[in-house]
Amino acid sequence: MSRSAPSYRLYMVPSASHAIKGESVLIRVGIPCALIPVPRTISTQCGVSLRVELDLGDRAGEALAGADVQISGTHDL
Amino acid sequence: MPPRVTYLDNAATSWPKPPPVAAAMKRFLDEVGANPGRSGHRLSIEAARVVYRAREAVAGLLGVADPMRVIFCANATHALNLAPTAVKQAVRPETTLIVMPQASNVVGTLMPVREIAEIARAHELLHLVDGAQSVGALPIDMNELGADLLVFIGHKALCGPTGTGGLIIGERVDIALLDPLMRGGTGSNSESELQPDFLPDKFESGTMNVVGLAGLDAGLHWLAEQGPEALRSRERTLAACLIEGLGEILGVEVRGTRDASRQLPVVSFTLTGLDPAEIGLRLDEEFGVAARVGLHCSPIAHLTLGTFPTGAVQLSLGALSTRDDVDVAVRAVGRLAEETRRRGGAG
Repeated sequence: MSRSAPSYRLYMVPSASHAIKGESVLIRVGIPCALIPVPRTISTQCGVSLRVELDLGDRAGEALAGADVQISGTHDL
Repeated sequence: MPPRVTYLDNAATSWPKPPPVAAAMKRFLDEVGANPGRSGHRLSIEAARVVYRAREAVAGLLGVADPMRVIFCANATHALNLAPTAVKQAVRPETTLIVMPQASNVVGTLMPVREIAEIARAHELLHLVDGAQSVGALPIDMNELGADLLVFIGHKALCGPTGTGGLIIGERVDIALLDPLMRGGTGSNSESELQPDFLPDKFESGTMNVVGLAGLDAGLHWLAEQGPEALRSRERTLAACLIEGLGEILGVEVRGTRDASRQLPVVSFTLTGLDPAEIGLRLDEEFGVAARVGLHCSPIAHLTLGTFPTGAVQLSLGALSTRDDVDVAVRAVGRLAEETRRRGGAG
């Protein structure tokens, strides 16, 4: 069975504080995002991650890096 | 009928609180209530937003570029115990940490923080400023202050509830060398048995006082709406009236600078012939004036002032104090002084 093409990019963050900081940064630059629980297939962490549309993923990454939001990993889903 | 309360104990904790503070706390309890950082559901995420908003508001007020360097604690005592634990490991054995209050909690005198910061830098020492009385009552920018660590409390000049306070960790402090005061669950790094090594989680183990932080955030926003400088200017004017009014009473000695521009709106005095404890009791029972008497947990300051061991009577103003509060207090102290003189005590 083939997997469907990715449509979201998931930014993993160390904690909820970082997730909220990331959300605040993305809202400021006008990039829609959602905070979702970390999928168990990716990590056993119990925290949340930042989800953005894939085509906005690079721009989101730049904005997060520019604001010193700690990112512990990215996944395209 | 007992007299209405003239609350002049804002140096202990500010009261009344601006109405949005209690409203925000009630809203959190009624509509959110969840534990931040522990779960991924909407209420947990909203609780984390509440905490982050308070972090941003404190950072914004104090010129801290990264809100993650704002560490929340239960109070200033907790924050002060956290900082030295950390710093002991960060400095060489022959060096010492410079710890100082930004203002006296007894008479409000402003301390030369910037000058001490320069000395600390010149000797490569870390510099901790206790801003329990000053944060919110003075304009403070972490960069201009020059301190490496700043302790703040939420329930005084920031108009928040008790149970809120914290520590600002400056850029010069290496957090790898800081030791948390308490270890335990933070909601992050669940795969690991070890304490997280990043800010702010490393120093915020255990469920946070989110309802308190919701109130603190509301207090900070209320301050911003009112205009902190306008409030401070008003408090200075009231403090000058209080100093002048008390100073004109025969037998009263106002302690400290007696200059509202060189101190916080905290005024301590003694009255010849009457014990401070009795003054406090009579102010409360006969005039409805809530004052703080005694040594204010600062015996050495009272030794310096010459008021040890009996202490002094302290009247402290807050953002919602009024000219009427000052007039009521001055009249009340005047009456006590007059009665004491008649009995042959004062003057």
